[in-house]
Amino acid sequence: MTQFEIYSVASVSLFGLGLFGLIALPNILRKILSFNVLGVGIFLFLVATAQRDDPTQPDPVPQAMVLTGIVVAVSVTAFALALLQRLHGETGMTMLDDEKAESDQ
Amino acid sequence: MGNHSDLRTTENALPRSLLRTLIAAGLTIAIAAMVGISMFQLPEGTAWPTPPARETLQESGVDQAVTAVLLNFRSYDTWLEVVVLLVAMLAVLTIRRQHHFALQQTDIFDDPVIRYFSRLVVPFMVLTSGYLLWLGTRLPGGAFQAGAVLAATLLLLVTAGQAKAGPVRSSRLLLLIVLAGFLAFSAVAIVNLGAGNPMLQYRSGREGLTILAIETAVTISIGLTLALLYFTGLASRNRVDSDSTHSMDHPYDPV
Repeated sequence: MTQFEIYSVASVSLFGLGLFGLIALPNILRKILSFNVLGVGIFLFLVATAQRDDPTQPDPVPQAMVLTGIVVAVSVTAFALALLQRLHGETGMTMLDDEKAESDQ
Repeated sequence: MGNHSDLRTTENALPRSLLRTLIAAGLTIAIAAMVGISMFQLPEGTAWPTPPARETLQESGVDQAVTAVLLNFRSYDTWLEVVVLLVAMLAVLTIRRQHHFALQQTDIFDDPVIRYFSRLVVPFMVLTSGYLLWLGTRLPGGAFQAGAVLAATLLLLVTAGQAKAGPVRSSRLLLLIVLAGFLAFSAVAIVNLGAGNPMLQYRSGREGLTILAIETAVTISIGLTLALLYFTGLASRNRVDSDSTHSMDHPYDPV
């Protein structure tokens, strides 16, 4: 396996792990964490493509996109955590309504 | 979580949360497999064209390609990225029903060891932040890395109880610092528009200086904004716990 292929498999694994958690885990905090894992998978892939052709001269554009992406992901995470905190403060819930009903069945 | 309660309710047919897990697993594997296969079929050598950013690096005013992309070639991205942070900040303030920016003191780790340790490392953290900022013109580093270190410094200061001397109450000053990065970009844009140039064109020969000035403003903005994203939550959580009915009236009351 080439270095790019190892990075690709790792990034797809992280992406899949995050996607699964986002859908399957009922707790919202875990959904937020899953979303971050998913994003890390995408960042890893971008970094891998940046140095696929010539590892000694990586393309700075995807690398810069990752830096921008990290800041956006942090912003979204902070926003989501604030929403969760408000939800918990108002209703005492840490899960969405329908998923809570399911797990209480 | 869901699975534990499923075990208790095996009387019913297939619990819905187990069904959901299975469907999620199937979909995830299918999507990940498709994405993975497409990665291996990327055409050789043509995924990204020859990096033009490297060829024009000399014109950018800095010697580090990523910094050149972020602060010169694609400075729109960075300008709007600072706006994303600002919007997130406003959204968090709105959700937490806070009217002003506030650095609120907390005593979560009021411990002599941590207080001494933080006093020891904070100067070095500020120094590291400045060094990363300066380094960004030549080597990996720059405004975002420096801003993250600055945010960590602020977090340490407040959580270690070092900000006890008094919470910063001037929300106007904080607002100005939070806006500094956006205003720096805007100033360059306005000057250029006034002179009839493209909006974010740096004056020839002054690119390095302009980039460093903008980066300094962006660093301070990012550092404070990231820290505030944390602190506003801390303050409002403590308030809700102690007195939820008056949370709107006294945003600065120490808890």
